[in-house]
Amino acid sequence: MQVTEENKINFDLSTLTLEELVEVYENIEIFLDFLEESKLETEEKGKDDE
Amino acid sequence: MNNFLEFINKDIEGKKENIQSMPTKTKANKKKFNDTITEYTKKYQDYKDKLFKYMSVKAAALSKVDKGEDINKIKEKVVSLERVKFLLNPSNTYLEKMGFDTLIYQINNYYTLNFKSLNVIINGFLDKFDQAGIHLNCDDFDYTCYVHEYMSAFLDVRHNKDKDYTKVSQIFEQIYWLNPEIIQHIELNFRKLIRKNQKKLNAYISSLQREEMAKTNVKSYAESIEELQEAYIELNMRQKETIADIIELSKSGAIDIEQYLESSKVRTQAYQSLIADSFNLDDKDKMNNICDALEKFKLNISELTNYYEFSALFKDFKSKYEKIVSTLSTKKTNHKSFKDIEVQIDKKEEELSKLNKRIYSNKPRLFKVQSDVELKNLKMETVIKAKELYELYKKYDEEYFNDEVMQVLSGTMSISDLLNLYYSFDYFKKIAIQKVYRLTTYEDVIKYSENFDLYAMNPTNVIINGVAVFQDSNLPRIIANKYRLSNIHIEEEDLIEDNLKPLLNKINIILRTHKIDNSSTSIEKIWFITKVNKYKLENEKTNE
Repeated sequence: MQVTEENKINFDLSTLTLEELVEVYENIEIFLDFLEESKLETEEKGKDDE
Repeated sequence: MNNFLEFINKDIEGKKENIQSMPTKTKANKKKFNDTITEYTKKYQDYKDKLFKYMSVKAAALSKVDKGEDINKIKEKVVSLERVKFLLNPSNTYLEKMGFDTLIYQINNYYTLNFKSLNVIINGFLDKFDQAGIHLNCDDFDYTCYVHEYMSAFLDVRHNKDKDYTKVSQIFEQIYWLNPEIIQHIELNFRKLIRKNQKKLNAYISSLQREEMAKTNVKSYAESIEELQEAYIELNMRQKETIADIIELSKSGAIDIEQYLESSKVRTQAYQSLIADSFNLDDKDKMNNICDALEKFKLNISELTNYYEFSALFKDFKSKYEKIVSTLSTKKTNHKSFKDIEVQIDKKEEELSKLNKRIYSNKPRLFKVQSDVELKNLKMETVIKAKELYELYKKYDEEYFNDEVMQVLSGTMSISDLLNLYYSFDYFKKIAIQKVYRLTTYEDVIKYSENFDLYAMNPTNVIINGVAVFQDSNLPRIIANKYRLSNIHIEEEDLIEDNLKPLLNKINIILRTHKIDNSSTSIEKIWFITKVNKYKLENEKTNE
């Protein structure tokens, strides 16, 4: 069965061990930090495309 | 794929690849790139929030453990018994039981220890007299005319509702330039009043003793010690660390629960260094015995830590009295010099009183100038006399304490006896602490003094009962030998002062692991609860 974006949190979290819960939480946190750092600076308004 | 962890890991991998492959050259590229980042962030923040909610509910369910019994009643019992023991202490007198010695120490060190308020100390004296039904008035403060003037103003304000001591401070300043020893004179006046009211104060103490004995149903000092010992044992039993306590220690960061996990090197080392190799850790009965021994060992370490903290005080006492001990043939109580000084004080105070009467009754004679000169000289004489008395009181203090020391001094005097001696005489204990540790603030003196009292009154002390003040003892060796008999690996070196903290950590790891293993929870669960608590605090900080 293909997993869709919509059903992701409908996973049964109780199948995860305590260690796995912590692992998944920390992986999400790391990814959120990565996303935050990846954001690009937008150029000033009115400046032409290069 | 039905595992959320696997899904997330793969999804993150895919999203990272996607991000890295996106063009970012043009403004439109950048916009699209950032829009994607925003979309992923929103989605993952949602995952995080929902996951955190689930983990919080789980952690809360896992935290539901027995919190232990309510120990307030037994704590109250200990406090009552300590009070009755304090009041019945045969080693000291009404002076110490009333707490006058503490106030004398404060006023005596007013300048040395930079006390902030003389008023608080004076009110402390007056309150104690009031408690005993002795309501002092300005006529009681006749040590010198300066004391009389100052204390008359002080008592006026004390009896006023507004308690504005500004005027009293102004009077103090005026007097100070005429008589810089005014505080010493106030101290002497209180000392005189304490001695003068000895009977009433003793009667008050007796009434307190009767009251407390009736409340606690204790009939003697010996009985108070026995009952206190039993109450302490009960309290220690009931306030043993619970699983709920361990969870709180872990959550607050006071302990690192990761050190308790089976995979932890710290935990492995704790077991390897303290428990013999041949010992089977899975043998429940034997492990219970080891843990019982370790619980006692922990108390011994706490006692040893206190011993090290105050060993300088013990050495100071030893150096002061060891010569006397070596010449001490029989136990003697020589009150002679102490009583002699008391007679001298009485005589001089009588002389001072006569001088004061002449000042107070002084009326202008025919030539006022002559009268003023005479008055000035009389006042000067009283100040000189008070100075002599101050020196006499100093000697009196020394001899008073020496007299008490002589009653317990012997070659076999134990550290326990010495603790009881200083515990019974707060004034002398604080003087010794101040000198030995070279303290310059009252806060520091109090800190040491309170720690000392806790140590001295702890009925779980056992080592110091057999350690003599005037003989060298190797405490680490005595303790190490005792526990080797209980299958606990311990070297003398482990028990030197600097090594006690790491040793205690090892013992705690073994004891807590044992407790957790024998409970409905596990180290992993506590580790999880701690993690979730950390996330909660982080989230709260972010949302601030």
